[in-house]
Amino acid sequence: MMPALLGSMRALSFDPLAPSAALATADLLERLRQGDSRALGEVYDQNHQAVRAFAGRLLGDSSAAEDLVHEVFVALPRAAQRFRGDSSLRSFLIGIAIQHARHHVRSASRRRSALTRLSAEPERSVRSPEAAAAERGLLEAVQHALDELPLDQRVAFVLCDVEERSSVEAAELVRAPEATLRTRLFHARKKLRAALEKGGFR
Amino acid sequence: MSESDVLQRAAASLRAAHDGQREGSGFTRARILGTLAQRRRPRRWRWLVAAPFATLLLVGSAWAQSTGSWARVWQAVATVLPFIQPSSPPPRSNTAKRDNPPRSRAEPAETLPAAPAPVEPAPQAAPAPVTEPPATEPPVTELAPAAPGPPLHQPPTTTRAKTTARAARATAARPPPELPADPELSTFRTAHELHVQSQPRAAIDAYAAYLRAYPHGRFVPEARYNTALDWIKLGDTQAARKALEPFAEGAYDGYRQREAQQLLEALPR
Repeated sequence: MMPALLGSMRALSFDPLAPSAALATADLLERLRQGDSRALGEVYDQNHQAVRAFAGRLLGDSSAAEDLVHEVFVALPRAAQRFRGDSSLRSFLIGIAIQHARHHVRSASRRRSALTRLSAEPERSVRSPEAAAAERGLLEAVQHALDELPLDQRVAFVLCDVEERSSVEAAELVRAPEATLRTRLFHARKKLRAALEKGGFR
Repeated sequence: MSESDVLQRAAASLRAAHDGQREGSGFTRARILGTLAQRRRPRRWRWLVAAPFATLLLVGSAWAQSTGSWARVWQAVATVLPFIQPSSPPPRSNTAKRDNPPRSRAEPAETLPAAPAPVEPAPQAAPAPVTEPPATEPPVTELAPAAPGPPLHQPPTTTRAKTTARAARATAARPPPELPADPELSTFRTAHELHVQSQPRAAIDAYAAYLRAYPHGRFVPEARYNTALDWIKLGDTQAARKALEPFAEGAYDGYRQREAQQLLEALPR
């Protein structure tokens, strides 16, 4: 009980919460470990947006992202048993999402490919004068390009370039050395740039 | 990356497209809580089922222990579960001990057979071999320490007489078991009670009457063996020896053979 409480207190150093909220967060974690569904609801309310944003950016598919969010929070009560407060609870949730992402990345990629094949729309012109249409085109292109990347490189790109996290924080989230993360990011950027330029984006 | 870099623009478009705000987030919240509640339900259900059974088992065990019927329960369980040894019941309660007092060491064949033993047809000269001796017959080796030397020629010692009398009183105090009318058993019981009450002469006569009436009866081996013991009590070693020899030679399928041999060795020639 006590080490967990101290860990939770340490975790607050990452959070922009006031010190008075420290005990409340520690209590929330303890209730979460005991399987209190109201505690889970509170954690969801505080963090679902960040988790959903990360899931959407990683998967590029809203339905798949929603499934991943569901999976993350369902896994949380059990995963909270091993949470030692080395990072914030939000980062811990992102870490769970990364661990569960592999299956969802594949399914989202398959769904996107199927939709592209079945689409009756004519091929979008990436040189359309409308800015909105161009942005949509870029979004679709980058999502298809991300589907071609290995998961590790994909996660590195989303964490560092899309979510603008530092390489140190991203390395902690993926539980890999910072140098490894930087290498993954380098390869991801290189492949994505090549794919986008091949699609006509400059 | 420059401002106009394609990767930066791509990352920005991804960031803008997925900002985490969605109208269906409440639905996902309910779905998460529902999933967890559904996962917890079987565990709670298991407890709801197991708790009454566990309570029943505990209360039943306590009741059986307090009323002394634990041994019967154990026997019943042992018949159902083959890996339980019926010969090693759990410790009995005080009540159970009161109901079934331990037998005296010197008590020779005081109790009657609970159920008639199957007997094969017997020849005239030698009594029929018995396939299965009565379960309640005590081993005769208990008599062996008193056998050698003069005590065999004398009346039973005071201690022995006291013990036997106490056992006889206990037997008399015990209510007779409810058995259907059985003339053979009744005749044997008469002789057996005399034997238990240490009236060897009367017992010998009564056993002889039984053997005359039922030469192929169910209790022939017991009657003959107890007659031999009564001859020993009377000090008639010759008659005792004559009665014991068939047992020592295994004429009754080994019934009391070892005890008879030990007694024959101990008897003076």
